[in-house]
Amino acid sequence: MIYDVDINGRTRRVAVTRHGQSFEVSVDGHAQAASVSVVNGVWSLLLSDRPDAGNPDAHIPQRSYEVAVVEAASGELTVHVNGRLVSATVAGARGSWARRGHEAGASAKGPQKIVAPMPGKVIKVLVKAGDTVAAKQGVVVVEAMKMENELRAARAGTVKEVKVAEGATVEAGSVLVIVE
Amino acid sequence: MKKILIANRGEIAVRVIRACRDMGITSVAVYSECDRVARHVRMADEAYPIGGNPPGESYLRIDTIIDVARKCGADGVHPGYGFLSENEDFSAACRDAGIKFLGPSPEVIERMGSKTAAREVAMKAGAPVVPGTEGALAADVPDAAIAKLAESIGYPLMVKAVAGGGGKGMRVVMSPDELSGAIRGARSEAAASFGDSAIFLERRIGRARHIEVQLLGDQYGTVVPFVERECSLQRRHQKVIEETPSSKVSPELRVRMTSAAANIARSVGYTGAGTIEFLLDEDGESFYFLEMNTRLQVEHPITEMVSGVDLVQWQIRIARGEKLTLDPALTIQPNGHAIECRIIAEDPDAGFMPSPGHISALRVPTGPGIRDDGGTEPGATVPIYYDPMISKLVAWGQTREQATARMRRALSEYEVVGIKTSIPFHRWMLDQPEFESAQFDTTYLDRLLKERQGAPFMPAGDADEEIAAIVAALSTVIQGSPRSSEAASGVRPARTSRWVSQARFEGLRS
Repeated sequence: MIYDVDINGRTRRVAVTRHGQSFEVSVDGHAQAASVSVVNGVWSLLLSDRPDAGNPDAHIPQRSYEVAVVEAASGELTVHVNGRLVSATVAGARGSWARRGHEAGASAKGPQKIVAPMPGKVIKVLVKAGDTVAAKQGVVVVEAMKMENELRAARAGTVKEVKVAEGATVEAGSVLVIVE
Repeated sequence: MKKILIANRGEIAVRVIRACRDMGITSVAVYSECDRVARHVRMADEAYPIGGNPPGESYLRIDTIIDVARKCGADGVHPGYGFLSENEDFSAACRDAGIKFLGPSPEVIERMGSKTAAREVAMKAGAPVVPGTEGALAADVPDAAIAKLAESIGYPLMVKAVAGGGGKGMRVVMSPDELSGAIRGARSEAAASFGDSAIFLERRIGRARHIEVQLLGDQYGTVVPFVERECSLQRRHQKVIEETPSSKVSPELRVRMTSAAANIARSVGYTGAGTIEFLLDEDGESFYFLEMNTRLQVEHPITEMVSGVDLVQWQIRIARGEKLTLDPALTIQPNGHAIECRIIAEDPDAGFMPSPGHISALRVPTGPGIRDDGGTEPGATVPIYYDPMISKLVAWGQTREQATARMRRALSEYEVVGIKTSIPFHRWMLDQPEFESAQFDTTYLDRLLKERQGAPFMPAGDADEEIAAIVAALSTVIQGSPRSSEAASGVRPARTSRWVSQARFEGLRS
């Protein structure tokens, strides 16, 4: 089976061959032997450069990783590896759902709505209609869960509309600012 | 004292239940609707509902909590921190109901809760305070009069709410032209947050460190201070990492600071556990009284680690009328070094946005020198209604280096799946040269974070991405098309796959 895995804007081609209870995996031509065991939702992954690893007599170094995988409703996977969270989208072998992932990514065009991620109170509005904002610039400060949270624009643009005033109480999902 | 009601939730409720159990005392939990299955409810001997999810409908309801305490026959109430812990009305309501409040009297809470009244107490007790206005400046004091006072204090200065806390109602004023705007901002924020728009002015101590002294006071006038805690690593006035002792406090300075703290507490007849906060000037010699917290603090475990004293047990013993038998000469001698990281359900790479939700897998580190005071568990949900701190990870070592190494190891072992946490931030923080050299002040972290402009704290390297690609592909092979609704809520279900049982078998075999 061949899968195209998108990670951080780069596509890696992963070939997987099953040998009984273990796998041979090849990432962009780098082949390794893989052994997986899942207990309580956490994977133990052993990787080795040779397929006869795991046999103590062979003296093949076998690297050990603990990893976990979480799947979002969009189909995007979050892989926990070495304390890092890596987002991955699998395309390839099974087409239909993979395209859905691309559609989610396609929202990088068109107006962006900055929404309240949870119920809270608007503490500060940092922009007004017509303002130019840079990517990652804060636009609204919302107090929720006892913390002040700065909501930022994902991309650069112009503020089209500010839909809330300072002091307003907002529900999760309320649109606060629209940036074009 | 036979039965204690804990008027709190999360890790601090769990912490108090543990102390009760150590002492053979029955523990009573209270819970809001969403906390029905929370860890503290499961651990307690008894548990009672107190209302809806917003704190105002449950954990802040004095009448309901007192009613539950009466009906279940509790003879003590522990308020934890936050919620009602520094509420004089709650302390008074407990007293009126004939139930011991595990904290100071309502009079002391009220007096030390007012920043201006507390300043006066400190001055009378001979402790240095930051130069500033004598009393509170009520809403009717005109800006022109305040400007005159500001001239005599000198710029830069701070405008602070009398009832303030947690950085609310506080403004830095660099020059006279900023003053009236700062007064307006501080007053409106204070009125909104605390219902009191009174303010006062203080000189701004630049590049200061936040050093605090934990103490215990019994009912007979004895006050025992502990080794100072260094809490200068703050993000927007919220502590993120604390340690004890401070690398910048000499034994001689420690004696001066702990005696000043004890004198303040003694002068008001303080009972129970409390903390005096000081600012330590750049010169490393002058310090100033900042405020007193009349409760157990979040970071109390680091003091327990270097003193060997169980502070919560002592709160209970003091409330039962026992005399403090701790040797004050020993409590200011640190045994080793302890560091605490506050593990918070937030996404440090998205501006530290809270990240409530379902925890599908959780592995808490243990091992030499590690203590985790947590309040959640695998399968639990971090609700949106309360403080997002899920646990406090504490590392102890004979030296700061050993404690830091153990903390790094423990953070790398910590696995929380399903929600984002502050762990990547903590791992990054511990690797900063300023942390290693302990060269930081209360403004350091905010300045550094601003410079970084939201760069990821633990970026994945090429090797990590390759492993992620392998895992993503293998998980698709194993699960078939990964779209079950179960999978959407967390980790892929393990039990359904025949492949997994084989893999498990293989795991057992090798």
